[in-house]
Amino acid sequence: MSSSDFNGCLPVDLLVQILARLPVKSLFRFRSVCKILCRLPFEKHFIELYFRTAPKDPILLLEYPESGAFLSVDRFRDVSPFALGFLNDKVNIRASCHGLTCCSSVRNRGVYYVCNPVTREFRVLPRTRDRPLTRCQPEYEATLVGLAFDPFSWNFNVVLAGFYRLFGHRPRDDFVCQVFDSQTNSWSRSVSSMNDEFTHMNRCQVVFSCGLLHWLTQSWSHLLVFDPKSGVWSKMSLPDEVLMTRSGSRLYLLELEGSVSVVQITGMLMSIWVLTNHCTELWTLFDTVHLRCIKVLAASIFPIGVSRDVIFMATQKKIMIYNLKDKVWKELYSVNGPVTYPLWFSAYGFRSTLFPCRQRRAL
Amino acid sequence: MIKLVSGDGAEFEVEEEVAFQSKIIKDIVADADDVIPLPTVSSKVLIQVIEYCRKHAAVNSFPLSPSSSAAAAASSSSSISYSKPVSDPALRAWDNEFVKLNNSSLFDIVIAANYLDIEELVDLVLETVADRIKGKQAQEIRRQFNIENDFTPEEEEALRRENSWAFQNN
Repeated sequence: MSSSDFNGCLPVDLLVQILARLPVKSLFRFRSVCKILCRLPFEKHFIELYFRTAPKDPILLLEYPESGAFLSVDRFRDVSPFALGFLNDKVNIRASCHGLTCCSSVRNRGVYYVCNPVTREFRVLPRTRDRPLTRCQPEYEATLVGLAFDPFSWNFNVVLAGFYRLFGHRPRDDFVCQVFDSQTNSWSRSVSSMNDEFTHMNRCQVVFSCGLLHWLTQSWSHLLVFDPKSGVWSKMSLPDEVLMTRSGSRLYLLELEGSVSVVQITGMLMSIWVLTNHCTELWTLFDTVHLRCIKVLAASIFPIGVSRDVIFMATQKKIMIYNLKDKVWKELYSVNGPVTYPLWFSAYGFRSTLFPCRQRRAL
Repeated sequence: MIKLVSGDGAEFEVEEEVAFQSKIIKDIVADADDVIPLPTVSSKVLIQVIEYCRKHAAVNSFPLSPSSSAAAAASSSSSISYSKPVSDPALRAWDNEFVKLNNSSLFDIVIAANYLDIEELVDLVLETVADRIKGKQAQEIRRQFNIENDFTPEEEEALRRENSWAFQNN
């Protein structure tokens, strides 16, 4: 594009910079402005610019308690339906990374989708196995699901891992891991020995950072780390301060603008730690927040998403946001009436990007 | 002191730390003299840009005002990449007042700030404009940015249908 494409008062490069700061919804509405803006959300340079400049605050995805539909909530209290209807299937969100989401089908176990809910592009992953299920070889529900999207090559890996329990046998330590590679469109399988346990929140909170997937384990003694390229599992230690005080506190794992972050809630105090150096396992205390202003909720509140400016928290029926700069709490969303599941049960941090899931970046 | 000369010939004397908010001026002064002609910037816009630079230069050189020193001390324990930017609420409030201008004035400022490479001011204005236009309709965007509609009515209608989710109000 040259600056003569618009006879406007603003040079086109500055206009594009403004567009890169808009919510995706506005961007798609402005596709009907002119042909250049129509193509913009699909152009490589803009996809990358948008990833760098768009608001870094997470958006919260919630499963609407009764209907199973999804909602998105952002820090401006913009609550909108988050349609995954284009998948034509009832799905659970299992992981998200750089704007792409990995969903599993509720009806057809073993069917996984990777989609960009914003551009509504999706890809159905091939089945991990062709043989039908038998009594002797039951399909096990993947305990851990991870999505690793590389924003430079636009390739991704999906990781399904779980304990393999033969029918009629005692649980064993065989931890079966299957890795999907978007380049080859195929799965690879490996078995390792492991005996970690995972809570529901441990399973929901997976962070991809520095090429590695991270999960917290139920014992809260370490992070479980998986390298999708080499297929190697390893452990990473938590901050000493957290390890020393972890009894009587709760721990959560979140992504903080591309880095691994651990949130510890002890009584009325919430500490946010960030992994600042992956190689030396150096953790830094990013912020501490007193929960006294929301005292009644403090015991049952769960951190769901965090950025440099804000942290999103979910309770049974409310979504709260705390602004780390202004030190102000706000209620973003609440449900009236009885709910089957608490809101935190299926709440995920998400970030809008325009990345495609069906193609590789042209080199 | 550095002398800035606007496109319409007006001269402005500013202190170095004010002018050096602009990376371009910093580079020019490093290997040339202290009178800098800015032929594409009008004096009206230059006054506003200098006002911004003066405010930010003053705050940046004394970042530890009593009210923000506690926050700065708390974040100084963090490493460089993760120290929270020491955001002075008073400066943010001042910025919010500064951008209370109509869009065409803001466009003039951002063009000048972009030319002078004052990153913070460019970001401030672009974010302000993005925030203003995000709820608007296509027609208003065309008028605001002087963009010609090159779609046929049928094409436009088809695009509206294809992206109907983006038109739904909450």
